[in-house]
Amino acid sequence: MAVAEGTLYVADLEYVRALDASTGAERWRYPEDGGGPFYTVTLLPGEALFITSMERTGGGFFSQPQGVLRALSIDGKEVLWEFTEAKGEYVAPGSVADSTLVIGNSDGNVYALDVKTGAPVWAEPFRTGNRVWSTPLILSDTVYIASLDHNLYALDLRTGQERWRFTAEGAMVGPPLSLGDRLYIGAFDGRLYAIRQSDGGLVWSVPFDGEYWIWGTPATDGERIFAADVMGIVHAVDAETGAELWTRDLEEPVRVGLSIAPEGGYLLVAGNAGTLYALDPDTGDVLWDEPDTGQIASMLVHGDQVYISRVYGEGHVQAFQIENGRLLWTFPPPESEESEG
Amino acid sequence: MWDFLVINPMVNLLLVFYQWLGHQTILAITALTLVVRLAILPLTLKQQQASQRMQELQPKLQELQKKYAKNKEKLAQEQMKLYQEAGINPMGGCLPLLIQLPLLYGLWQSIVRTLAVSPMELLRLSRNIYAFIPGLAQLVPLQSHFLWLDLGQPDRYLVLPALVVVTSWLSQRVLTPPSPDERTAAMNQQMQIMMPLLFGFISISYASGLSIYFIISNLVTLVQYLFIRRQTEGDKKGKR
Repeated sequence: MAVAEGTLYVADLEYVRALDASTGAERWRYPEDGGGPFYTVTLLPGEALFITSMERTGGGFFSQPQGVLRALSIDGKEVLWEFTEAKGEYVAPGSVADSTLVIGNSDGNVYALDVKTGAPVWAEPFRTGNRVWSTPLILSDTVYIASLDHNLYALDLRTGQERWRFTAEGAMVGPPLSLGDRLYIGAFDGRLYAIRQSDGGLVWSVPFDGEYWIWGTPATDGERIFAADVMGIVHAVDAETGAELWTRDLEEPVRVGLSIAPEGGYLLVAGNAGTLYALDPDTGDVLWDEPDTGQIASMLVHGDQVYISRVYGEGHVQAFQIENGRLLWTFPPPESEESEG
Repeated sequence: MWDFLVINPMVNLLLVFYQWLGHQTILAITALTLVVRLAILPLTLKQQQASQRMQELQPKLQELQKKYAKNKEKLAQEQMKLYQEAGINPMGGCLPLLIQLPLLYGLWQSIVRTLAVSPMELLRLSRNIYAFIPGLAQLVPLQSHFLWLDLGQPDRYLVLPALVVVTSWLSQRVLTPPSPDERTAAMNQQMQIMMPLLFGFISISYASGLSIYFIISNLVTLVQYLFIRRQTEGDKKGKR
C-alpha cells in the first residue's frame, strides 16, 4: 500500500486499485478485466507506480509462473515498461531514490532499475544467499536490505557494490528501522539488533524470551524501539541501551511491521488473525482493538488514519481513525451501502 | 491433532537432519525419507510379501477360472479354499497399505511445509517447530539452491519431473501383481501409465524438493522389491 495526494494505492491480488483515501471510493483499477495475482505497489509520487505480480510467461503447458514488475502511469492507464528478468516472486515493495527503483526478489537477487526506462542500473543484480522478502531502506547513497540468508547488506546505490554486511544467527525479513546513526532489525533468532549505519558493527542485541521469530520492521518514537514476534508478544526497549521496558502478549501472531502514530500516543499492531490493535507506547496497555477476520497483509499509517489490507475477508481494504479505532470506510463497501449508492 | 502427531515430528526431524548434514536440503530430505520408510518397513514387507505370494498363486487361480468359468459360486469357493491352503488372506496387503498411506502423505506434507516458499507458509511453519530443541527455529528457511534447482520451486528444465515419471513407472510395474482377469489386468496397465503421469504433473506444479522425495521413495520401493524377490527365490531354492 502507498498513499499520496489523497489517493491510496493498493494491490489486492486481483487488481491494483487507486482509492480515495478519505472515502474509500474506487478511482481506477488495473487491469480492467482482472489478472495478477498482484502483490506489491511502490509509489513514485506524481509520476508512476511500480506493481508486481506472478504470471505464467511464455505460454504453453510447461510454462512456470515468474515475477513480473511493471511501471504504470500514475493514472493507471498506461504500462510504461515491464521487467521480467527476475525468476521468483516479489514479496515486498521496492524503494525509490535518485531515479532508481531498488527491489528484492525471491530468486535471491536485489535489482536496481531506472524508473523511466526499467533498464538495469547496476552491471549485475546483487546476489544474496537466499530469498529477499524485505523492502530496501535507502538513506543517502546507501541501500540497506535484509535477506533470508541471515545477512543485512549495505550496498552502494549507484553501483550495487557491497559496502558491508551484518550477519545474524537467524534470517531477517523486515526492512531495518533507521534512528540516528543506527539501524534496528529483528531476526528469526528472536533477537533485536542495533547496528551502526556506518560500518555494520553491532551496538547491542537483545534476546527476547522464547526466542520467537521477529518478522516485521520495528517502530520507534525516537526514544524507544518497539518490536513484535510471531507469537504475538510486543516488546518495548530503550533505543540507546536495549534495556527492556515492557512486554505485552496479544496472543495473536504478528508478521506485519509496527507503526507509531505521527503524533505519538498510539503504537499500531496488525495481528495476523485479523485484529488491529492500538497500544499505549508508555505501558503496552491495549487502548483499543478492532477484531475482524481476514489476515492483515499490510498496514499504513498516514495522518490520523491507519489503513490495512486483508488477504481474506469481506473488506479488502479498511481505514480506521487512530484516536479511537472507529472504522471510517471499507472497500469494497458493504452490499447495503452499494445498493443505496 | 494431525499436525501434533504427524507433521510436527517429521518437520523437526527434517530440520535436525538439515543441521547434522551440513545444511544440505537434499540430504536432509533423503535422510528423512529413508528413516520414515525404514520405520514402516515391517508393514511394507508384509504388503509386498502378500503381493508376491498372490503372484505365485496366479497359475493355479487361472486354472480354476478356466475350470469353473460357468459357475461363479463354485469358483469363489475354490479360490477361497486355495487361499486357505496357501495360508493367504487375499485382503492381507490392504491393512499395511492403509496404515502406510497417511504416514507417507504426512511425509509429503512435512517436506512441502518445511520448504515454505511464501510468507504465509513460512509463518505457518513457525508453529510446527519445537521450541525446546535449541537452534532449530534459526535454521529456517532452508538453503534451497542446489545446482540449477530452487528446491522451493518446480524444476524449470523438467529433469526431475522426467525422473519422477520413470522411477514411478518402474515401481508401479514391479509392485502390481499380474492378474488372471483380463479386465483387472487392463485396469492395472492403465494405472501403470496414469499414476506416473500424475506424479509427473505434480512434480511440474510443485516444489522440486517434493520431486526429490518422490524419486528417493520410488528407488527405495525398487530396492525393497528386489530384496524381497531375492529372499523369496532363496527360500524356494532352500525348500528344493
